[in-house]
Amino acid sequence: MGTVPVPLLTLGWAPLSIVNASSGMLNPPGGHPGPTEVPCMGRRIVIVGGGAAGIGAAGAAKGTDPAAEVIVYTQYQDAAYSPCGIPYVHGKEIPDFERLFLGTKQQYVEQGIDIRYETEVTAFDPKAKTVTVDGRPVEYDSLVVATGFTYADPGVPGGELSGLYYVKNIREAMEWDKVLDGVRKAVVVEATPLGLEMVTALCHRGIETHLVDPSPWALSMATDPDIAKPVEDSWVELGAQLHFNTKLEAFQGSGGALRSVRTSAGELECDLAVVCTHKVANTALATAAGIDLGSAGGIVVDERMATHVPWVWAAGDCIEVPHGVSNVPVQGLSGSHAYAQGKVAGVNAAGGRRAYQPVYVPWGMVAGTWMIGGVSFSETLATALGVPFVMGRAQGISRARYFPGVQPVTVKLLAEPGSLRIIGAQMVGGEGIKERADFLAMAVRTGITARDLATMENVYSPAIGALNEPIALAAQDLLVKAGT
Amino acid sequence: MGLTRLVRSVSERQLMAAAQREIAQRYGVPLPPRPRGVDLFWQRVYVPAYHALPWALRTKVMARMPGSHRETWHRPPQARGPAV
Repeated sequence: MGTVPVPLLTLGWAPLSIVNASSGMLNPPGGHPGPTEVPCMGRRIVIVGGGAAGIGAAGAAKGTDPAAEVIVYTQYQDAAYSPCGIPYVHGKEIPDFERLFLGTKQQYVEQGIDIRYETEVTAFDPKAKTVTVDGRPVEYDSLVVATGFTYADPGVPGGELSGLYYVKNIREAMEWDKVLDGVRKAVVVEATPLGLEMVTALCHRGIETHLVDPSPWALSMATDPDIAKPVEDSWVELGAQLHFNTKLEAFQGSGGALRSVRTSAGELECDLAVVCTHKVANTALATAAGIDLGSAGGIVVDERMATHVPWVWAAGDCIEVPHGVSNVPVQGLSGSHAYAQGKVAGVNAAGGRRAYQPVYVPWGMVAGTWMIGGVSFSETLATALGVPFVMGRAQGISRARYFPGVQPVTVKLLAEPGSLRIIGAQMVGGEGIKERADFLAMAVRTGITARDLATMENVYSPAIGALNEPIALAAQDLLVKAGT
Repeated sequence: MGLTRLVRSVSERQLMAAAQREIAQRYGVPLPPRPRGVDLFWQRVYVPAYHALPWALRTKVMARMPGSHRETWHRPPQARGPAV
């Protein structure tokens, strides 16, 4: 349920030796508050937010300093569940919401993590080192801000109507799931990653589903039309109606309830609108406390997830981190990014030393009857930014051609001209997309070239891999295009 | 929204819109509606001006924008040579 950011490009990172390559731990630092500056016994670590980043921070903090008092404040009834699984419960692939919880409340108690449910932090004061809870100050030694995201305001009239569903909170999702039983027609607003999942889920649910998006194809911030096409075709086969190049103009209703959406291409009757706009960093608390924000709208942090303010760390969807290819900060990544960032923040907030890395953002999902995924630059994004590239494309297969269940896999690679370093990839296929996206993210991160990939070794085993690896075929095509 | 956030946001949106039109044409996908109003200025003046700028200048401007990229970020050293 992540959004895919725009990684503006500046190639090149200078490797320095202060990070231990195997552990990711920082060697002795320069400049940031260290463990010797806080009392090691009984430090109080306050974490604001109970999502992936907050829970990751809590566990890592307790693991780093078992004597620390770790308090997590969340405004919700629950913490530590997978909101990313919600569309799949709606689509009936997952039978119930209970499976989305990562741990029971008792498990956190036993770990010594004090989660304060339905408790809102309304402010924090970095000078006094306090957070305000129920109007009263609570002192902290270290603070981790993990306040997450909000959905971008669609910016059209009718936002107050009932029948607008923002997929986020699991308790609300449980209620909405009952509502879905009575929904005949639904509109999904914007073909973001969540939008793709919700279109698929609503189709599975037998609901007449309309997708409205102002761009010419699905997930246009991250993909190209040739990659999105199989997904779009499969949605149509599932019964969805696609309205691309179409702007949302208003939610319309009567008696306070949604009845239709008005778009630049006409009116669409509906009982429900699922608003899947992009994620915006929730920085209200941080802004009020004087924490710096960056150009992506997230809290500015360094590799330790430290903010500019002493003893305040931040992690997850409320921060921005540099993109590894472009060196420009990006925000609104996946739950796995948030969790990993939370762990780094938690270790450091508890007096340890750990560093996070710039991101390359591998992504993937099931959309329609396909898997789709990629990493870093698409042809569209590179064109937008004026980044020169050479492109290779190939269609292969996921298993031996004679093995039951064999599926097509299309791979598209982008490389920097000259060096032929891989700068981006996209894939669509029947299986094996996630693993290839993860692999290609490491390829981009480590500077692997199309020449390397063209001659890569691959597993050949009829049930799980074909003779020719589709990535290698795409790289070979890229070499031909590059004239080498 | 701060000024740099606003500038970046509008710039990204307009550059993507121009690229989507170009790529849609390349792949035979229905084109987005022609820009109107203030979008005309961005599409006819800003986007060509952006692409006319030397890459080094563009990256210098991007690097100067406030954000996490200006903080300390190190890459772990890459191991070289045989593993054993």
